[in-house]
Amino acid sequence: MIDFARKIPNTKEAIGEAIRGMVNADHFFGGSIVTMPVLYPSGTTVALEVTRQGDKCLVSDRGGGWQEADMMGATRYFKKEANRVAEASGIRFDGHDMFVAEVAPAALQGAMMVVANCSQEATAFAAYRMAERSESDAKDILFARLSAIFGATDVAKDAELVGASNHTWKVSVLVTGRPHLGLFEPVMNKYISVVGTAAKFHDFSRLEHPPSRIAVVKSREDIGDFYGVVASASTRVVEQSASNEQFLRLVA
Amino acid sequence: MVDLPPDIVALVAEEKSLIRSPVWDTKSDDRYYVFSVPLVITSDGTSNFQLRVKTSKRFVDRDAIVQLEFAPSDKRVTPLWRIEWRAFGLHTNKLWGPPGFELAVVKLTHEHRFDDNWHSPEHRMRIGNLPAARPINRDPNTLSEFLAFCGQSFRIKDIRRIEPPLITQDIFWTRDD
Repeated sequence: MIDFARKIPNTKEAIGEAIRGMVNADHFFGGSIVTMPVLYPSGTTVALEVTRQGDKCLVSDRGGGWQEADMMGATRYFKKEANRVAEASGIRFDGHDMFVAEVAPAALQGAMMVVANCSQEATAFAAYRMAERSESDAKDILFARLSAIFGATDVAKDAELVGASNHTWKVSVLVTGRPHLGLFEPVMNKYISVVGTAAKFHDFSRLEHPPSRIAVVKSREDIGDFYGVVASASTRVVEQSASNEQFLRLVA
Repeated sequence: MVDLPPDIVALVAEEKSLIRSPVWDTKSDDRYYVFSVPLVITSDGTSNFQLRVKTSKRFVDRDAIVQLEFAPSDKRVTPLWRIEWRAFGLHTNKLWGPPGFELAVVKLTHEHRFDDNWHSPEHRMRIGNLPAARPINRDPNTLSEFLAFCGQSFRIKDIRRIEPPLITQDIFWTRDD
């Protein structure tokens, strides 16, 4: 608990105390475990293991990223992301630990920062990938529904369309053959889903003849206060449970 | 995101039991002994929960995690409540953390309680792998005590069926202060 009543003489001391608390090291005969000021999605700090290799060191995330993903049920995504992130940063991933070997003492600070950030980044991406899988499920369900309503020949999944910015976007479900072109996006209660859809829809809204942009949400309650973000860029926000007639009217 | 049942809050509070005596997996992780075991709700015999346990191979007096999960057979696992015994990593709460623990940095033994991470208006767990935590006042001294505490918190009546693995302190990982 934060003890606000505790007297801290001045701001400099308070800042110094805060900084000292950000990093901590436990030393053992065989190595050290160092907590870094980098947070996994759970709010836990990345803890590194630093062990001696002759006159050099091995810096590992001690499988902390893998463990964080495992506790979320996201190890499959983590392995893919950890491989990618490790390769991009020039460190290694052995299927469990992210690490860098044979680090000279002078390079230890940089190695510790890189391994800690790679571990955190791979875990955060794994969490996003899990969210995307939910979106993918929602997209398939929406595509099947709209194909049944509008007819399969007028409905396309992952269609590419160019926005006012000249950027080419992938539209989850595109409905053609109606008075208005219909762009349908399933939107989850997730930052990445909401912001991605809003950016895409805003770009299409600035076209000379903007298409109908329909955000499909699980429910008004489920989307919460993201509703305003999505609604401002959409022609309509509808719930998954809307009737076939309601869907037909959206592109009439 | 997995849809949780309408009565999830009541189900978490229900008495549970282990479906079988768990067997430690000694090989899949270099640093931890692990197992997962389904749980049965005593009152109706349903089994949509599981218990996951990880305990250190190196340290006899710290570094164990016990997690209660919603785990229906056809859906992804959803973490509901996690308790960590003398963890190495620090935990930092967000601005909205549990009342009295906003922005708190929590060290060593702590719990990510279900009710601190349950977002009732939207009937879901908060985003970010149980991001709210609070310290535990009575720090268990042994792994057996820690498991018993977890059993009491999760209401698992036969938690004592879990036999702690035989851990010998790794000399390599003995403190050098």
